Amino acid sequence: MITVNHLSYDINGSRLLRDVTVNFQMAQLNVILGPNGAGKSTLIKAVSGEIERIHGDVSIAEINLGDWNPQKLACRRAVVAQFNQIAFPFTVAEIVMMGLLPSSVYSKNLASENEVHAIMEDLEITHLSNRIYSTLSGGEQQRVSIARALVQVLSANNNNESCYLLLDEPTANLDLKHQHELLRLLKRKIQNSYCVVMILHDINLALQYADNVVLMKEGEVVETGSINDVISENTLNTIFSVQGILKNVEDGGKRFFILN
Amino acid sequence: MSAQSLSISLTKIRQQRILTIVFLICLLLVSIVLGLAIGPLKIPALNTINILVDIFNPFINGTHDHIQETVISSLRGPRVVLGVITGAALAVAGACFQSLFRNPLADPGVIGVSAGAATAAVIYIVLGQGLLISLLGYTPKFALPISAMLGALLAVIVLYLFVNRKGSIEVATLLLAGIALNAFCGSVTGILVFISDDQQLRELTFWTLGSLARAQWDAVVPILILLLVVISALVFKGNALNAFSLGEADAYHLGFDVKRIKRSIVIFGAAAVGAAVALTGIIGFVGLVVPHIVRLLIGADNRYVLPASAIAGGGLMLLADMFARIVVQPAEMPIGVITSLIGAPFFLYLLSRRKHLGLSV
Repeated sequence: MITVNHLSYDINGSRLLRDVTVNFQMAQLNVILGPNGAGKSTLIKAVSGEIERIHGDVSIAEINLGDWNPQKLACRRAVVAQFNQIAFPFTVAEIVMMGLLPSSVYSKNLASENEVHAIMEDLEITHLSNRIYSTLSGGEQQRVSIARALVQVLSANNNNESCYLLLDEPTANLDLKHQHELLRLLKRKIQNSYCVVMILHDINLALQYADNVVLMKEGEVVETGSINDVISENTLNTIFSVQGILKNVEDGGKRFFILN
Repeated sequence: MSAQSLSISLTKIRQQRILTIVFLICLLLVSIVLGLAIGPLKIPALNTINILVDIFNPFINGTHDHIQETVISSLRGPRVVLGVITGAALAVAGACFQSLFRNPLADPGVIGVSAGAATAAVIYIVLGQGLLISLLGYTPKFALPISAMLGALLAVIVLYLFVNRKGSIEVATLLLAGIALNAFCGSVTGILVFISDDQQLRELTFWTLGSLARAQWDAVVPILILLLVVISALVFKGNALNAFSLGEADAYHLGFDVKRIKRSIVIFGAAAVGAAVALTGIIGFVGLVVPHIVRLLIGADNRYVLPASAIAGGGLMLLADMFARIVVQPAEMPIGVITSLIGAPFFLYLLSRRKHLGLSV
């Protein structure tokens, strides 16, 4: 579990996060929703430890973020940033294999090349393995980064340790098919002691796959809880300053949101 | 592709890389022999090899032309060793700076680190030497190389502070900062030219154009040992620099101690450039051309790029030096002239392909 307690963060006098208190549960798909500039990416960065000088507490697996050994944490927590430019001609296979770097130091049973291959298969990037990363399309690059993140926590997960994936808009560049395939893959993964935290902009993807949502606006958490309890027509319209309606899909119990 | 074939293709790539490195080692050995054999006194390659074997093997005592042996052991020998090690140092430092700044154009010369080292050396020659004599009554033995290393260190730190914004470095900013640093160092050297005497003036030419002609065992050996230490410290940072190539944040997420790695690359890289410049003056573009050719041959994986750059850097330096010695015989051209002649167009070529290299300038 990831717990965030009274977290605030200012930079150059502006407050990006304001007293954020939220829990991300194991075996759940936690989705952060909110308009641009709500502090979603900042929250992910604070949880990943990328930004320092935060006020408040963040703990992963009940250990305070500052008390983690960085390499041990890296074996259990992987991050996928919004976009990633690489100025050198690394191949896709090389980038994915870099996910093994932390566990190669700390783990006795390193993930095998077969397991790495299976993950590449899941993300449909095996046919790209000898391509140069910087020549790929945005969506392909994103799938490679996600594969690297999954490989990073592989060996810890094999040891039945809880693992954490922090994804900043992982579907931003993906086509319709790959968006859904990624979310289904993550849905399958979380059964084996994974905790997934992701930022999404597509409300309907969230409505279809999320277990928990965190609604953010102007650096604050407006509401958090299970998707069915939190999401209503009213909250969505207020948070995103839009006029939309929430409809039920016939048979299936899912809902979707369209703008008037 | 089946699961097996990923393993097979990874093994195949590994084998190809090791073969390429072996090939580069052979090239280096050939250029060492050529470097010893070629010159005003031509020594046949076979004789050169015999004399070399003789020098390294105390049990065989062949009879050789005494003059040839002296030329090799005390004239060309130190020069070749100097060329190999400074070439390796510049190439490895270039490869490391490129990964650190995430910028394939970061050559120690282009970004002003070499100029920082040379300017510090010139300041020492023109001002520091006299000051130390009047203070201590003598000049400490390694004051010059130490000043050069401090100059290089200062230059890297200034660059890093100015160019690094929120962990990402813009290519254009780095190159512009390099221009500023080079211009600043150029004018400091220019000012010093005015107040230097004739003897000092001759030394200044050496610093700005670069040459391996100063090779003498006793002066060079201690710094060469230092360079060997620094090179071996840098060569094994492959994994960390691979992670850095993804970006500082990603390296942190992969569990690397980003600050410590940055500090050690900056210090060791500056020491490598500073010590190399202290021995040879500014020899530009070796740190740019060599890592790039190596990446074309074996890909971007720094675990291979760094050792291969060291080997190829040594070889390239020797070839350039041979050229410098032959072209205007019996005079000698400064080697920096030749490396820049090759390197500058190469730099422009890389700049024209920056989109392909994943750079956004």
